Amino acid sequence: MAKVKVATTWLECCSGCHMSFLDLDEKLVELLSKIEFDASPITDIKDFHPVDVGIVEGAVGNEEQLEVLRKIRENSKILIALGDCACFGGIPAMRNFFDKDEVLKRVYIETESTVNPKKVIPHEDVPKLFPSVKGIDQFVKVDVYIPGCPPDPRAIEYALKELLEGRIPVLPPELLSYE
Amino acid sequence: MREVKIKIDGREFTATEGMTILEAVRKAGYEVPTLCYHDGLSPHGGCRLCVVEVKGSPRLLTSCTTPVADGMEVFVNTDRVKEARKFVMNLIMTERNHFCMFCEKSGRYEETDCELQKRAYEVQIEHFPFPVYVDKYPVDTSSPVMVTDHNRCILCGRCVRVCSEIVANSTLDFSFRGSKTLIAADTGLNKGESSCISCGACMQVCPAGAIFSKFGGYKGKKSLCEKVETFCPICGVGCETTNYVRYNNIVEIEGAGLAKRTLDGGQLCEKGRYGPIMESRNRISIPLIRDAKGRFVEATYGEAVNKVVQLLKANSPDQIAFRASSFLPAEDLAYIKGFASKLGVEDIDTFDGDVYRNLSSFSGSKATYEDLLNADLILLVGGDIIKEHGVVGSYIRRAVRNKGAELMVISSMESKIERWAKEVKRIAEGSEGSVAVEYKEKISAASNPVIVLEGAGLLRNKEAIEPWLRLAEELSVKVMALAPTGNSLAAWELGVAPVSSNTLGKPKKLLFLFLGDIDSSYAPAEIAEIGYETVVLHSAYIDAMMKLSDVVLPGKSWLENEGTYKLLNGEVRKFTNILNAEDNAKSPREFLSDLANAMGLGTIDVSSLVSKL
Repeated sequence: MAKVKVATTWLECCSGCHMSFLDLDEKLVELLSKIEFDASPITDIKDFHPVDVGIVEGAVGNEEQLEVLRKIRENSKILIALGDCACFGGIPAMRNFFDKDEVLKRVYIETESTVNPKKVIPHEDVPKLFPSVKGIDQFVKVDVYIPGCPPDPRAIEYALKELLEGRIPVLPPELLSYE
Repeated sequence: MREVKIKIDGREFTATEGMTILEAVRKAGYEVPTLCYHDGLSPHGGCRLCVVEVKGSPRLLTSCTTPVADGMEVFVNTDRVKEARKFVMNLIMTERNHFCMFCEKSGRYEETDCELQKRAYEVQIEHFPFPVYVDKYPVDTSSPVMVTDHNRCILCGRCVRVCSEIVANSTLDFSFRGSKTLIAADTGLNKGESSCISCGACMQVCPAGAIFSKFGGYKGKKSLCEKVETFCPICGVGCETTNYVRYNNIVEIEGAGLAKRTLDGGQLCEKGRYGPIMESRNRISIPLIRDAKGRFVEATYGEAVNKVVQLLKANSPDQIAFRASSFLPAEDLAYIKGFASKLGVEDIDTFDGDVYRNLSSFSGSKATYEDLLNADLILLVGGDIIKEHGVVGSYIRRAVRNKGAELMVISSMESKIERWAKEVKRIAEGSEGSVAVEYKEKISAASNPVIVLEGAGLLRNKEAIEPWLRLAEELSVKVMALAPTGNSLAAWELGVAPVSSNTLGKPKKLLFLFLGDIDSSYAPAEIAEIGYETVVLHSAYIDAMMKLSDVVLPGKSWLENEGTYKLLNGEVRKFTNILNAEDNAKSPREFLSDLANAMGLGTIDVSSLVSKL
């Protein structure tokens, strides 16, 4: 049987969910007999090609992230939102409680570790920031959610195995986590 | 009560008429998830999570507010019910900020401190299907003990109900409407500026991360803590507590009586809930002996005991005095008494011995908490009951609110109880007795009057309480005397505080001072003024008396010292230690028993004395 093709990407996030993925350890080796990675930060393949499963870590907070999200959606039969940022907005969504300009000013000018005597807020050659950060299901259709900050490796394993068996996974309470 | 027959998921059960469906269902061993419901509080029916299907009813019913009826057929777990619960949870989770990852109560399913999160896991929410509402709500940090984050609030009203029904202080209520609704203190003040008495009952019942302790954060989830069930002996009221302990540190203290529906309703006061956690004094960890040059030198425990033996041998019994805190367990108090008797020392007393010496002349009857709840006139004389005996304060408020009792406050200091008073008489400290006669007529006209004498300052002062006691005897009024520390009654009955003070107060050469947890500033001023030549100090904490002491021994704090307490209502209870002491810290009985062995005084049996309490 041909291997199931998987692409992953990360948007506005800390890459912790990918680390949790790698935390599957020897079970990852077992999984690799059934799946193969295409575009992913793990393989360092940048261009998306049609795959069976797309996995997205992170929320959407700027134009570029939305473009990447749309690309992986177009190329995936099933899309997984991995982690709290992708599912809910997560830690990046904390900025939603502040005005966008306030956030930019704080980050580029005011923070204690910043040296920016000309008080420049970059706006050219950088993706445009959205007024608020949202989970990926606010932009594209999501088929499977695995929340957690990061999700338990067992939850990722459970979800992938269910998918390999041809079922859409529904995580039991013990494998759910919003922290 | 009549028995009724009901069917739950097709099986037949009997329930008592008047029960709610929820009570009947839980009694039958079925589980229905709840959020706004809390054992011990009146049902609210606000969150709609406890809905069940009832045959014949076109809509789902909230099980917490619907009474059972004969022949009722209830279905607690149908697909329709499950779907409704998930829908309700989705609505709750998308209103305000329920991003769990930045809340300190958050955890995984087995260990979370948050009921809201637990319910969300149970209905298997893995994303927010509705757009999240991101308006900013205030965060109130003005209370000295807790934080109220309105962004986390689900408006279940548990805090409002506990504040009104149990604590009877009615500080909290809903204000504004719709999505702008807030839990407000005194309809719009910050908690720290309001009539809030910082008892923390609202914090204990909050099912979300909206009200949380300023001291518990990031010390560990309750599920990771060891749970110690005991009571709080600080003031002698003896509220039942559940203590969450991790790495020999208290993370949180909760009132244990709420679900048990005890008289106090599981309340605690500020002192009981936060006191042990807020304790900031430094411990005495090593025995100290003053050398010839007057400097403290660290010593081993054995060296300190030997030094004390030398001191005892150098002084005749009539030159030795013992003073002990009445916050020590009865075993310690009895041991101190027994040890002093073996030596032939007569000068022994507690710090508040005067309290019961002053009260001993009273021949009238004592008021119980029930008397207070049923009183129609309450005269509150003396100190601040909210600070000293906070839970008794709630009985007064309940009498005022529920029974329409009149509260008269006669005090030298301000108190938050005064907003419930009909009349406040502000007089100089010590002159409380002078106005007693003015209330004679008022008391005579009442049918269930109670006089409450509050605090050490008042009760130690014979002149201040004498007129009240005589008035009470004359008019047969019941009196409640609220002694200042946890074991004052045991100390009195064990004879550690003598009936007559004739033997006391004369200059002596050697003083044994057992402070326990009490700061020496609470001890009568004479102790520092008498001018003992030599002082042996046994204390858990660094204390001002150390500068007058010659030998200092580290003591156990009350949290580490198991023992018996006799509460203000006469109940005798065994306290289980919550924390473990360090090796050097000894209880007075351990230290005195080592001393007795070193001096060859033989064994001192205290168990027979303590069992007679």
